[in-house]
Amino acid sequence: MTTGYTISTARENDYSQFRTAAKVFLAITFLIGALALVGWVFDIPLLKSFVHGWIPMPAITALGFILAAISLLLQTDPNRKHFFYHLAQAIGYILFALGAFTFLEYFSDLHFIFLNRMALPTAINFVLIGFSIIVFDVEYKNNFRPSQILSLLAALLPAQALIAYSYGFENLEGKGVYFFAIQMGRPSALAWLCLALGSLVARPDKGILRPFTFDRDLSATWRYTLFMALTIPSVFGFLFSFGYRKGFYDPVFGFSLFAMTCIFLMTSIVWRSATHTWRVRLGQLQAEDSIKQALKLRDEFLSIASHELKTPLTSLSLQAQISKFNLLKENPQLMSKEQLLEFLNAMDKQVLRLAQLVEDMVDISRIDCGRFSPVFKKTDLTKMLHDVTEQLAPQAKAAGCEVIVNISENLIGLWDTYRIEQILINLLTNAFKYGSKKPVHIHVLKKNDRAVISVMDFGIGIAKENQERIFYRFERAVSAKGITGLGLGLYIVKKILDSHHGAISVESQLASGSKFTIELPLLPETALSQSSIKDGNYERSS
Amino acid sequence: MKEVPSKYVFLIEDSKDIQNLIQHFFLGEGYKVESADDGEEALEKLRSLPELPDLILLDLMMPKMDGFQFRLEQEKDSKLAEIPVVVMTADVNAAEQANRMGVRGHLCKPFTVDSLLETAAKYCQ
Repeated sequence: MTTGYTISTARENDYSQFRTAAKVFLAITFLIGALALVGWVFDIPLLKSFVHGWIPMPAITALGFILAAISLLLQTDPNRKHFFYHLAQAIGYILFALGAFTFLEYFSDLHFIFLNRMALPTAINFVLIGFSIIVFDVEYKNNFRPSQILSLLAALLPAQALIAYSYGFENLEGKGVYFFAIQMGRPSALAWLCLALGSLVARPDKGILRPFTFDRDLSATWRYTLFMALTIPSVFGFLFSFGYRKGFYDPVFGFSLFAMTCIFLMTSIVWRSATHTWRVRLGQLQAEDSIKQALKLRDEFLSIASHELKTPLTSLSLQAQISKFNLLKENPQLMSKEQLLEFLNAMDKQVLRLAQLVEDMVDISRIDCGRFSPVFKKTDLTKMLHDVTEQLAPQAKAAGCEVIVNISENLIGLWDTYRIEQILINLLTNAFKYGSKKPVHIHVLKKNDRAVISVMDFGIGIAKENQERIFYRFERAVSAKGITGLGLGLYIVKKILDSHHGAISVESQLASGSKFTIELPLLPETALSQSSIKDGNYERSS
Repeated sequence: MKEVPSKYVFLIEDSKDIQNLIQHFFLGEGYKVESADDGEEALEKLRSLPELPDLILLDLMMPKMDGFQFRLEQEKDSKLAEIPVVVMTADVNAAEQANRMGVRGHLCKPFTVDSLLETAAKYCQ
């Protein structure tokens, strides 16, 4: 069975890439905090504000960044030791308290922290991140993780601040609607963004990140889409504000240009992802169909196999039991010598039939495992046909079919004698089975170093739509009812011919008969190089 | 010898071997046996018989008319509907399916002659 698509879940090393990214984000936050703190300890103004003229980062904020980064770095390893887990949790509580108390200070006369007070947005973010660390691995149903939502919220203000700064917005007085954005300096905003992203990406296989990581193929597409959704508006917003400040265009027109560009680009990217998702789904559906088909075929095969095997077994068993039953009664009338002989003959026949069925099944398993290599020997086709027709004479008689053989030329080929015999037996048995008691013709001729053998009957025929299907495994043109056999014959025939670089074709019309034609290269040169030669019947210089 | 009321079995089975064997066995046991190769032939024969059998032994997988179709036809025919039917099959699922069609029981192939005799004795008195 072929499957068009198999679901591939991301391997551990894929997730490890995300975890590495998380560590990088957190390291940036740590570095920013550490530099500012060093600035405070050694009183280096440049380190406190990073650039002359920027607001210095309060020491308490710098310390908070360092602690938060350490805590989240500890959380990144899902198999962290118990001690580290508790340490990370403790830091979470400290950060939460730090933010909460600062927040209270802003709205009361109380003083809890005796250091330069951090900005209000920073205090709110410490509450969010602290809480996020405390509930870091808490998960509710539907993959809901509060920690991820808190981290996302903590990313909003710094992202807004960074975008505003990059568009040329300057920190002036911090009044009115600008209150939040401008109270967060550039280094703080960057540190916050990295901290929030690091916290999110530290659990790449969980919660809201799951759709972006679970599958190597699909998730990559949607990660790309997400990345574009984040960057396209930011980048084009920058271009828009740049053009506006330079006076290239009227702001309303510029904004409409920005909107249109975003619409166009985002639509293309969403279309790309949707198409990819659709293709993958289509592949899945096809795979599901072929699985269902294979299962149905298997069930049918089991039912047919059980019927086919149990019929001769029933017959065998009854013969043995009746013989025993009657012999024990010691009534010569019930079990004469002739009767016993007749039974034994019939039993012999059933055993052969069973052996043939088992052989077919073994052939199928050989084909499936790719262990079906022919052994080439010099084979006299005329003699073989003679042997086969003689062997099948009783069957022909029972089926009421006369066999007429017409050989135009005596042909000798280099074939696997046993397998080619198997083909002939198969085609003839089919001709008897479906031949409606009419004669069966065998024609042999030579065409371009190939033996062409046709077996023709005048029986029930095969409908056009079934003529290809009959060469598949477990298939037969007419329904299973009443026709014995496993439906494997022609499949095996085709496989044997494949191994000989031969071919089979069928011409047929319903109710007027079928003609199966096989073509076999007399010297299968190409096949020779791949298969073994026995008995030294053919010497081939290499 | 006084003639006893005959024990009469009707056998529907497509495998000639099995048909002959069962027939041979029942004859030896003093049964009267009629047989058919498929459902169609069975209906034809049953409708033309002067005397109805005590039991029908029915194979399920058969050409022309299988055991299930035969059951449907038999049910429709008021004359034949009352004859008890026991199915003989290699397929356990098919046996269960047949049980739902109101047959009296089933013999799973390959079965023993004892079970055959027991079944026949139960319905032929």
